[in-house]
Amino acid sequence: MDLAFRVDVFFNFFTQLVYLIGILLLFRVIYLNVNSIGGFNIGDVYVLLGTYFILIEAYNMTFRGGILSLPETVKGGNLEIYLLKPVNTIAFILLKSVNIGRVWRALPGFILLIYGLKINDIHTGMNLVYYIISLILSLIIYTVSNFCISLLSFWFYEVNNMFYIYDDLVEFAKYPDVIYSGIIRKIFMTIIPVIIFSSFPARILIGLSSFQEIFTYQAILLLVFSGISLILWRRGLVKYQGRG
Amino acid sequence: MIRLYLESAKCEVKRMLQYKANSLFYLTVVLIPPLALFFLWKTILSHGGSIGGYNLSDMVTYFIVTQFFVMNTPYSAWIEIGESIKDGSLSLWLVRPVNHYLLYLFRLIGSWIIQWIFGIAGVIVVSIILKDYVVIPKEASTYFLSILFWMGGIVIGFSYGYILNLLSFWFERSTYIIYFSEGIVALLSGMLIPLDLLPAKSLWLFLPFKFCGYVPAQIFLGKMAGLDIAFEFVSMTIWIFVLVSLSHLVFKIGSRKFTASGG
Repeated sequence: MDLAFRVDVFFNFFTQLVYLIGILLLFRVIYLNVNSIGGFNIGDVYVLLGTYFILIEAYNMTFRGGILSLPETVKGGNLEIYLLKPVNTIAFILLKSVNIGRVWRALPGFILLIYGLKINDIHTGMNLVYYIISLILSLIIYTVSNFCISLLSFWFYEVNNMFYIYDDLVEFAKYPDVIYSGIIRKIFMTIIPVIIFSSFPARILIGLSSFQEIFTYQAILLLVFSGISLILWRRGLVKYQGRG
Repeated sequence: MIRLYLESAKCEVKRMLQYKANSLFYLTVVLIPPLALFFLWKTILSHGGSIGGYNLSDMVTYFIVTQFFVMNTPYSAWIEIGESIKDGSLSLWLVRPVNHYLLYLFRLIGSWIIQWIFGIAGVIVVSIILKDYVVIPKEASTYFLSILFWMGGIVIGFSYGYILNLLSFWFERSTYIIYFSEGIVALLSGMLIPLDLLPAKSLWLFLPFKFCGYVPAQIFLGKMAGLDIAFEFVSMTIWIFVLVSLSHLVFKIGSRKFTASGG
């Protein structure tokens, strides 16, 4: 289905590729002059960037469509179409636009990841399993945080700009988490946890951090954001007025 | 005649003012990426180092300035141009006593002015936040020359996008070529990395896209002065002449091929 409009798909893909090449050039120039950035060598950064692109494509492939459609559904008063169905409404909304056909778009991310591991001659072993678990947790936290933004549509008429702001903030996930400090680090590891999305799984894979400490942190974040989203959902439904 | 184009620009300003909130949110495009890059460069260059002659202040200022310039340059011109060729509505413009290129250039400037104002506000905000790391030129001429070159870059970016839109005379899918090339051109404008740090820099510094970000930033940083500026000004003028002439030529050739139903 994704390849039904091949020209569109290929041009979109090559546009992403151009952007990826730009980032790689940036780091290439940096690493010609330094050996590491906060303990991350060039191979580690490739693993980080590969993780970032895989995460973004996984989100785009699965939950993005459903989440972006929610504000329009609420605005249009059509939410009861989903509320009346004999399935969990939140799961239905999140999964209604899953497009597994897009999986091939994550290929550059996988290639970068494997290349980064090869440069460092890392044999992943059990860390690969932990990496996948951490990546899935990052994906769910990213999804739930975007879902919280979409739930604001119960109170605000226009929330699309907030999605764009959040997409801009995810720029912070492209760089090693160690570079951030001060109040920015505190905010972007807790309230808006963009820094951890790709850094945490990458750290596990390259052996910079243990799975236990990262898993605990991500699990707590997931519980907190899930709680917030459920509260917003329930309060939103009370406020919601449908068309018919 | 010029009044006609100014009026069309004014109409676009009024149209954009209807969506003030969108322009306000546009601030984040100028604010957020430089903040992320600031932390990266602070980690790399905090101990007084430099890369290719750029120290920490140079790099931070460079990215703040180029982020503003490049994100506010219209590389895709106006997608409506290509769409009007495909759906035949270009015939409405062909019978009017206006220059198609100039009309869209003025309309585009009108539609972007509000974003430029908010963008400058964003640059001021991020400069205040990072005030210990930003180079602030003292001479008014530096600001004037940076903006002058960027204005030239806008004409270059618009002309480039205009020519790509005109490919709709021959190709069904020119829109995707435009979006694809936007990414490349933003890179070649120096948005992600100063062009003089790239391999094969002579090639990137020959192309006209440097005027959309790299050259204005170099002037702002005080890395270009005197004869260099004069040389770049002549170079920019030549590129503008070439691209504007090419735009008109492609339009002339394409409009001979153009067909519309009902007209």
